[in-house]
Amino acid sequence: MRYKIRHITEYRYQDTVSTGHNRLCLVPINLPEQKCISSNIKISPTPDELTYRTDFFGNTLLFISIYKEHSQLEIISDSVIDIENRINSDRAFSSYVLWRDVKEQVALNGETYADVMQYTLPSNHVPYSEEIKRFAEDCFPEDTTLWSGCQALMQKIFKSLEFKPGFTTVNTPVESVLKSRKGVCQDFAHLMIACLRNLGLPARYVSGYIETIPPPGKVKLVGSDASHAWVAVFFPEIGWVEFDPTNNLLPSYKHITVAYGRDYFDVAPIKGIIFSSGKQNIVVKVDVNRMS
Amino acid sequence: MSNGFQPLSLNNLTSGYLSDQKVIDECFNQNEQARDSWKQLLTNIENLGTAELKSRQQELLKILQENGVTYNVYGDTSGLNRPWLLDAVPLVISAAEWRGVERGMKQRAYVLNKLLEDIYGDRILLKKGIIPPELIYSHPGFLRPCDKIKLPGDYQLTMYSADLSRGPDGKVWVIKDRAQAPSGMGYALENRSALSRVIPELFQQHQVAKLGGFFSNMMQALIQIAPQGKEHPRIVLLTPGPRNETYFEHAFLASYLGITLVQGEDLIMRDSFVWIKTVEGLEKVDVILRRVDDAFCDPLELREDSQLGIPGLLQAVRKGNVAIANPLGSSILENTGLMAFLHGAFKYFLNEEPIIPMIATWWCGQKKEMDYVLEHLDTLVIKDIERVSGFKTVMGSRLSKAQKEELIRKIKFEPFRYVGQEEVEFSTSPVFTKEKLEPRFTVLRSYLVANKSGYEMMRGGLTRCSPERGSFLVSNQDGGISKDTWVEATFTKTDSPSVARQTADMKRKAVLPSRAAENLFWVGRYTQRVVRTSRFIRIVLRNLTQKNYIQGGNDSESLKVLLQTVTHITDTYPGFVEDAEEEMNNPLPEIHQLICNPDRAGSILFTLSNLLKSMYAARDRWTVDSWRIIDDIENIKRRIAVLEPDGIRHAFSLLDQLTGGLLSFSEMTRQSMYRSDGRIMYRMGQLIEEILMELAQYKSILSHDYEESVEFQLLEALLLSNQNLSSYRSVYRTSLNVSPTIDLLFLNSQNPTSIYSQLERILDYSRSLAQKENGTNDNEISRLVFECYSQVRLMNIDALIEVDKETNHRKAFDDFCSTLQKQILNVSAKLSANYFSHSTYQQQGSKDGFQFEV
Repeated sequence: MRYKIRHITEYRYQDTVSTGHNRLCLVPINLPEQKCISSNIKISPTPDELTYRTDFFGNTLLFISIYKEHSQLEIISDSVIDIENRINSDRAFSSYVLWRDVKEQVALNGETYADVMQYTLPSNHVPYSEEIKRFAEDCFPEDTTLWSGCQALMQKIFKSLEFKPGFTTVNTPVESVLKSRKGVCQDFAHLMIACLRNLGLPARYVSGYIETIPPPGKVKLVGSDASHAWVAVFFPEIGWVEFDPTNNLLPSYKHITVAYGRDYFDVAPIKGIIFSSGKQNIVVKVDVNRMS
Repeated sequence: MSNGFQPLSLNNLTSGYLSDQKVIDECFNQNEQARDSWKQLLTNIENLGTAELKSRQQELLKILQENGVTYNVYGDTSGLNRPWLLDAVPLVISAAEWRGVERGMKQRAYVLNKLLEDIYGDRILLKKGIIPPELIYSHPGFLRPCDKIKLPGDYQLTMYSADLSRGPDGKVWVIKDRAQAPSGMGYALENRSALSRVIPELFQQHQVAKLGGFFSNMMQALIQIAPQGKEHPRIVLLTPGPRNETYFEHAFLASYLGITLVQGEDLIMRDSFVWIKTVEGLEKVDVILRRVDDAFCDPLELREDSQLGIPGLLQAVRKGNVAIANPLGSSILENTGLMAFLHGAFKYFLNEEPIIPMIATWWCGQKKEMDYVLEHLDTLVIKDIERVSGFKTVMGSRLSKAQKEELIRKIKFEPFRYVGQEEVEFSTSPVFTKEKLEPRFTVLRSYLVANKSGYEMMRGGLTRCSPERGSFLVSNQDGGISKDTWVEATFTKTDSPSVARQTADMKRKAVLPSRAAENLFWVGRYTQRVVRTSRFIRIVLRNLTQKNYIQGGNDSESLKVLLQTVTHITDTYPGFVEDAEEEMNNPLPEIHQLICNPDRAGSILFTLSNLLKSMYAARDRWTVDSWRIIDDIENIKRRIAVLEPDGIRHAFSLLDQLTGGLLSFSEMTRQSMYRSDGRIMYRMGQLIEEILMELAQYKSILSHDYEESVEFQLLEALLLSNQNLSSYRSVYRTSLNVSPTIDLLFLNSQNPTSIYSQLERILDYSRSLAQKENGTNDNEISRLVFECYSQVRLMNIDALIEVDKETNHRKAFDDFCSTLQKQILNVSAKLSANYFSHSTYQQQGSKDGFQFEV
């Protein structure tokens, strides 16, 4: 399947910005099942400096600096992606590995899995918490497989949380999400990752896009798609297997991956520092379209 | 030396020294005999005598205070800083022992350097399981954005420091490692210089290794990491600012090494280089000696909430355009859990055992080790692997049952966060207190720096002792006592302390960071504000107290005007100006407030506090002599603060001392800052404030026509307070009159404090700023100043002093003063905008209002 994605972000500033530095995480990553055919990022005003680099996790970051005064910033990221079905899900489905053996298996294979260990630990948006652990525990009975545990957890989160935009912000702690039971895809993903890590399982955050299908008979609206977030769990001998708790499904060819990290903090699509003290306004539009 | 040391019991100084002693003492053995390396020192102390030692000890503390040596304590509301405590008795280390320590520390520095390189490189030690990956990945000091960044040259760990102690087995142990921005070396230097000045007798017949060589090694090391092998790099010392606990040291080191002291807001990243914002524009920075914790250095990629860093710094570092010592990310080496695995690293990198043992450590991230810690809580110290975390180090043996259970719960919940360490009994060394020597637990902080040929170690260090007998607390935060550290020198090496200065920034043009310029400007303004206000209030006070004796009717009229003038010049309305019947009848309480109320904006004490803050913030600019005066001023401030309303007559002498102190400070500064940009800013601040204060006085007093006797009293007071009375008499040879007074105060070019003379000087300064900026005499500020200058030059006194017959008001004069005030304030505002501009920054997409995209 080939997709064309347009991701537009616009900032408007009340006071003029004299200098702005931004880190963009918008270039889709190359994976066995996904190939980034092209990525083109247009920025206005034109940056004075522009540097690509690969980060610690293997994602492509773009650093831009603007040294002229500006009162708005527009970033248009156009990408073309080829994507196939994820095979890891199928392999995980038939895996008999028990969830309680995972940590040990990872630890025993330090040479290959040293990096995986970090995804069992707390990170900026993912704390260790006894409440969260209690919430997750009934999905993982003693002798259950990792696969069924994850399935059960994904379902539990999907059923327990109401998808409600505007209720949470980037700074809402995942514990409060668990209390209020409302949130958006980032909250769903963070909660699932927190549950898994509190049980000692390696889980990471996936940032990307999802193709939405309009209701029957309706035309798809421009800009109605969304950037999306879901979860990947490490299965020994298989690798990373993805789960989408917001939609209670296993990502297949409709989920386009941009980047991986421990949580949102590592892979936020745009973060930056601007020299200005006034208020700012942000508008985001995403379109995901099949080609041919 | 030959007369052999007397047994302890015979000596008053040491009687009872070793009673209750369970640990090793550095100075005395179990038989209460002094060790060989200490004998000469004890003889020197004995020759000096207890009484003399006591008075020298006091002198020592006094001199440190006068030099402004302080250590700031977080959360201490009593003031910004705490005096530094230095014991008269140094710690002596024999040459033979030092050789071993030096060898061991160099070995350790070598291994930690390799480890740092590996952690931010291939992470082989993690893959091989020599270091558990979780120990690194869970530590906030492991900064992923710093991965694969390398300093030029062979060493990643430019500076290294460790705390050393002697264990019960007599061996020296490593207690902890400091690897990101080790503090204390400046204090070590200051300790040595104070001790050798105050008690030179102690040094007799001693060969004490000098410290200066270490600092020139350090400068060499900083030069070596400069980008593209630059021979004369610009080096800056990055400080978090005056509120930081070791700010004294930052300022001290910067001026000792001859490098520029900067805060984050002084620097910007542009075009992948780092620049310092100076009065003359942007200057490129090559090397940053860092005293800001690494996570705070770049809000773009590290901690987003930091205001101490430089946004985009890591970009410049990655491109190799600026080098930072120690590199960002090196705080990972301060991970306490590493202690448990370093043996493996020594073996891997060197195939050697550590020469200096380290404290036995169990990291709870491993099941077996955690079980051990939980079983042996009573004999262990429990620490967070991160130094700066919410968790306070605890000794298991001191916990109640409930506390212990809580701790066990915490450990089991996040085991990787904790280590258990052996509770170590340090050795003691003698501290002179209450006319006696007392044993106190002792820790030595040692310093190493990476040179081309390997690590060099400071032959000395910072010794700290517990403040109380039997206490293990030795940190400065807890009020520890420091000692000079004497390493016995075996040969006189070519140690020249001045090398550091020559190799440093001396070959570069000194720069004035805009923040320093601003501080100096305000030091100038506040100084004159305090001086002017004090003088005027003093004269009013005198008139007030005399009033009790002379019951003349006209006095009250002139007093009223003077009191109102006090309100005008201090800007403390309503004060004596509106509805002020009560204040007028009993003015002393309000006057007392205007002197002593620290919270009343405009009061002398209030302005004085601001002045001291600005002085402190610009402390790298002052000489030792200036600091002595600042210390005096600080003392006067304390006495003013406790002045009672009924003791206001004491205000006379205090205000005199205050103005005296400030004038000598100005004089000192004038000499020491000869011809620098700093001096221009300082002087412009002074002149602008002088003019503003004068205009406020003149406007208040001269804008109305009074009866002759009242006018006489007012003019007399005015000229007295401006110290112009005698020149008036010698120039005009008439009785006091408004027209000649205005001539003297505004126009007389012989009078250095006339508005005209002062504007002329501001004009000179603003022109020389313009010269540096664009090579001409002309810029916005110099034009503004010239406007003021020509207005004063062209003023027509006769027309200005015309009086409205009905109201007795000199409207023209009143307006003239107001306009001029506004223009001068505008000059000040433009100076701030053009030279001190601070940019504030925020995060893209203000976070709290920013929802996740869906």
